[in-house]
Amino acid sequence: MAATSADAKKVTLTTSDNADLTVEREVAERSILIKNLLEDIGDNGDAIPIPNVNEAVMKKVLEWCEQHRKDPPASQDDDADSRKKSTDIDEWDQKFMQVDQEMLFEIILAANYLDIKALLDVGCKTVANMIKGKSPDEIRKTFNIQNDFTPEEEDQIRRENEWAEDR
Amino acid sequence: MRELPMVLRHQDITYPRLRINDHTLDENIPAIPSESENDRYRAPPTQNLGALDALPTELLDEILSQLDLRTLTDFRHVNRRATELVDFLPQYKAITTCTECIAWSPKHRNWQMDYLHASREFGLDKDTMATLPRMTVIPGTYSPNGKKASKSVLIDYESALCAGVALHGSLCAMRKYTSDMETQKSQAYHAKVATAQQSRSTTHRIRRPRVTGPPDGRSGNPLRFVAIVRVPWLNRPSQEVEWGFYCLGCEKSSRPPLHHRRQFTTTSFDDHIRQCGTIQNGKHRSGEFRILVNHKSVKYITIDAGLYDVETMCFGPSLTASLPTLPPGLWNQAHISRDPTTGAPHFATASQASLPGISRTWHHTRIDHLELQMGRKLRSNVYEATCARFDLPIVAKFAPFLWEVPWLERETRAYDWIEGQQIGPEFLGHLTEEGRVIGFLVARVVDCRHAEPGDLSLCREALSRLHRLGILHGDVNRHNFLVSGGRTTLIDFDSAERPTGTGEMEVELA
Repeated sequence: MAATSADAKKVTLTTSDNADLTVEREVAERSILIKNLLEDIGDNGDAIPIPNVNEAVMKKVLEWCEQHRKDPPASQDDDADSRKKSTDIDEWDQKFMQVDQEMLFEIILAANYLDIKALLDVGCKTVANMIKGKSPDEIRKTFNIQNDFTPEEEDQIRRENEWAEDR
Repeated sequence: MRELPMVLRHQDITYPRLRINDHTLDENIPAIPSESENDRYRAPPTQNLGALDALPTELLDEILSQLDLRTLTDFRHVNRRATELVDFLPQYKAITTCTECIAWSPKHRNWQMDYLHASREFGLDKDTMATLPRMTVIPGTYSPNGKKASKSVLIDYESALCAGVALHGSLCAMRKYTSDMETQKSQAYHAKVATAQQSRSTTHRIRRPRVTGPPDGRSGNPLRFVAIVRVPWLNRPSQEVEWGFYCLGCEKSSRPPLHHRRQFTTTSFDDHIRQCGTIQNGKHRSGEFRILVNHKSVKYITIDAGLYDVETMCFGPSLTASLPTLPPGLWNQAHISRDPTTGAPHFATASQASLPGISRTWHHTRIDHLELQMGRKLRSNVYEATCARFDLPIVAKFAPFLWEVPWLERETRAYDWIEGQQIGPEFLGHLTEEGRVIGFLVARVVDCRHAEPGDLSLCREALSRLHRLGILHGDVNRHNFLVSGGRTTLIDFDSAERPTGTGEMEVELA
């Protein structure tokens, strides 16, 4: 582990659009990808290229990392069982996720790429909540999805779904 | 680790479904369109998932797995691509490929109430009622008295209670409201009866208001089991669905721990057998134990089923302390049963018997179990150990139960086949107990971990080397591949065989 004096150490990240963002190492290390990189190459002060994430998204992700810098690291084994219901998103995260759809998906992709499990989880839950309780038509509208069922197919799907109907 | 062989080993002493008709939803549910029907040709998607298409399939799966069943079926209805995604979701597959289950908690607090009852009991108006979770009763017979349940709507008890409290402000206010309503209705009824008697009118019967009571949980209630179904248990590590099974030895008993309704998974069945004993001729024989007396002689003791609780049975030290006084003299096998007069456990028999051992020994080294210092228990019959004769850490595997001897016999034979081939850990010698071979010692693979998906090619390579010797492993799973320093060591050969054809090898590699 890094010594206490190293905790305030900064690292620089270069985004896909060539912006340099400097953050504290502890914050950047919420990303397992960055953490592993720093452990492998050693912190020689060079900027770390993050070719899959642009500046706007990276800033958003770092904002989340800053807020959650002191969270205990997720353990590998119990994540499946301790997975909370999707409605359980803490208040700060809920506010944080109030962004347009495109940004939301970008954050999810970035969290996936950067290997930030907790952020990925919150992102997926947010999308799940956007789907929950909606009718097929409302889901189509929400995500701009075209219906390509023929009337016969639609009928068949309705029959297949009947067993779970309650209204 | 040995889950598959466990099932195979026990398939003749267990049965998959309760042999009683409980009249639950399982017995009444109409056939759900099965997956095979869903599998038939479907036109390929012509549209994508709109904005959601920005996400790769594995993330979409992650999102969909957070959804409740109802939303999933709605999502399935969005377009062809959505149907495809949902149909491939393991969780969805798990419940649709079984033809009988709909998830609904069978917990007591979730007793369902019929619509009218709920609206009266909690003083709820129509609008509030419309917001409550509900389920439709599938018509059928749900009680042993044969009374039919017709199509009706049931309301979730807890939700209705909460809605009632919210509507009336407090539990007391709600109770007062409902009891006032009941009084009013009964007063109105009595008034009507009085008027009718005065005018001697007999034109129509006056209906007595229905009196509400608590939900009836007895088996005669025709609605009692409308929401009760068998649901599978998702084994998270293996991502497989387990339906559980029942113990043949317990089928005729109803005194716990031997109870015909007790359901087991492969793991809990193992404990059950340990507690209640192996099964012979459809009955639990007894629990079998191997204990070391005075640090030198080993005794095999069988204990009648149900004499001790499972904790005592599973942890050697507390069991040894709870045993009755040991019989004197020379004996290695004994039986403990309930003393018919005192009701306490006592030694019914004790004798000196010639015990079975591993016959096909091939290694020149033999080590007595008293030479070993047993360390950490790795599995029920596998221990880390140290021995003055070896510098390296070793692992001892032996048969603590006599019925396990054939498995150890097989594994010993397999080690002979692979000797010197660098496939398994190094075989160090046979383990003996009072002259009888009960197991073996192998070198411990240090700093190892179980195989992970990334190690697939390494595992294949190791397995291929085994196959080239004409040997089938028989129990291939990630726990039986130890990865250390870029190489894989195969372990657990107790199902290994030398088959005649090669087809089985290809299957095992797949």
